[in-house]
Amino acid sequence: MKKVMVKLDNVKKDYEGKKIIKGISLDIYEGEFLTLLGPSGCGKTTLLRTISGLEKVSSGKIYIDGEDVTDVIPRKREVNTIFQNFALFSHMTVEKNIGFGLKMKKVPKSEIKTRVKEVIELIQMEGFEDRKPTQLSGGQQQRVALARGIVNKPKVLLLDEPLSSLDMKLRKQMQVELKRIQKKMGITFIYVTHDQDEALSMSDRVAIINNGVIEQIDTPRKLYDAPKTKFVADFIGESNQFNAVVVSTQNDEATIKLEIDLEIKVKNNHYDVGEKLTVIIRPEQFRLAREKDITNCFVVKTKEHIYSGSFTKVLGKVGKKEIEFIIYNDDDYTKNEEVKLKFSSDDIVILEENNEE
Amino acid sequence: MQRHKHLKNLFIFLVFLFLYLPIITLIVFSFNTSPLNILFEGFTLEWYGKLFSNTTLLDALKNTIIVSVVSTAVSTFIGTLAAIGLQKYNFIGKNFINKLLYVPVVIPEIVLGISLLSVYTLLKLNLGLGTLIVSHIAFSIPFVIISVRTVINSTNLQIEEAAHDLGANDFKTLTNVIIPEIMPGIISGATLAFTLSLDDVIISYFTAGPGSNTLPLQIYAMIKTGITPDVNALTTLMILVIMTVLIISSLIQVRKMKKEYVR
Repeated sequence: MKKVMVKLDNVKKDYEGKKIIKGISLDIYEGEFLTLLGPSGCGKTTLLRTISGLEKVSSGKIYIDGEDVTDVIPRKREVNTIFQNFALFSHMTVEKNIGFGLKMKKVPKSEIKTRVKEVIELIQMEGFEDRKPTQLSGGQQQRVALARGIVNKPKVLLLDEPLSSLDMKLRKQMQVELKRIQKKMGITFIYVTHDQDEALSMSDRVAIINNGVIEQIDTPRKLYDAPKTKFVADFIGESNQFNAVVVSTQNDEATIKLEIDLEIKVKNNHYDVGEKLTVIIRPEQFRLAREKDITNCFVVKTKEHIYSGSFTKVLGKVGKKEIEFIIYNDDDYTKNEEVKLKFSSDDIVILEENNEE
Repeated sequence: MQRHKHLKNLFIFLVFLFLYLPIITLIVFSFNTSPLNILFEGFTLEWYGKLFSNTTLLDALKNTIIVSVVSTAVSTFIGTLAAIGLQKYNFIGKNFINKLLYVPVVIPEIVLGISLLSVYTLLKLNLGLGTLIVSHIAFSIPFVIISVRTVINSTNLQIEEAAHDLGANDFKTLTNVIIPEIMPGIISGATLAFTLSLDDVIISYFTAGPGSNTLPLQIYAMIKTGITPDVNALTTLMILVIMTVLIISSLIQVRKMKKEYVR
């Protein structure tokens, strides 16, 4: 059993009568890279700020390393934050910026010097010690902000969309860098982002937050392969969602009817006849069907082909329903007005309607 | 194109001539042997010597320095903290106070002078250096607040949270982070306060008492009987001091810029 580093117990936050966080409970383990992912305004940054103490909770408890810190002020918490806009002290050199936290904790000067030197090596910024933040590029400022946090060896490092102001290429580079540093230092990272690529590529676990509640918390792979709600399926990756109703059930097989007037056969999961379901099919789960395929087939009227290098994304319509699917460029495919698609009932995700709302 | 360039240069020359001719005249006549500012008759340093034996002027100089240094220090301190407070805290009437700040800046100085005088009379205070300093502090504060506030508004305020997050208490955050970060605004506010105090005539005229004459007041009194060459000499010295300060400060800035960008 892994040690719980941060424990949130039914945390709620109201702001001017508006419920921002509606009761979140969450265990974050030691050394874990956990991402809070959600659309803007979902409460993920507020949640992060309650952990740092910069925001007070309206109710609920927060524990860090077993200790109740709900009413502890930010500077007494053993956490550090990396801010979205870095918040570097522009009048201080890189070295002074990084050493600030240690200086405030009255660490002896000689120790500050060696520890600052260590993290400067870690972030590969040797030779920049005497520069001011304004003389650094965005990526370098990002590294300094990171170093300023980790030099204090906090129990938890909170990162509030730290890469959002960097350009695409730099962002990819920093993602690798962040993960490397996190592994090396073994510090628990809680990372806030609205960028699903970032979340999926770096995290051990991702908590999907929507409207102030956690929709699902899982490993990136599980979130994609087995989303538990329509929101998660829609937010992580692309998905075609169909309303469906159970028509008949046999022993281990059920026949369900999609909203596009198509009956498909799926595995029976104790369904009742008449039960409402949501069927989720990822664009890449469609395959081109051959003549002999009869079950679980779609006839799609294609509308648009979007070429993307190794594959082509196709937008089309089944009846009135818009769907999208992917054709790999080595597939035996010519642009047609109509194309027949199939999918395997093992791959697709079926949600029971009633676990929504 | 070439003719254009000449015209441009001529225009610039005329502008500068218009700006600096009076000052040059003043400097030249401060070395004039004739006591009248009409004809230059010969070179002398007599007036400078006379200046340093004129105790009235030297007393006025001393008063001016005391008043402007003290009022600058106090108004910069109060104004800076006020600007930070006005930014940081929300309270009823904050907007009103923010607007109210501009009133002392825009109302005629003579109104301010008279109103300060009537307050002092009401309180039965004896006019002197004290009342003079208080008056100068009063009219300088809004300028400091406005100048500091401009810098605060363009500062990333998350640095305050960052400082708390890194373990700094409120006092350390203020002294180690906020104040150094907004220092450019504080310096320009202080400079403004100092120059305003240094050459203020109108408000000082109403609020100074016997024995607390400042240099501008003294000069004003002296020229009632015609400009004497020792006034010329005095103002030349003042120009010299101001020029020196300007040159030093711009040299420091140039060096700082070189240090930061030419790497």
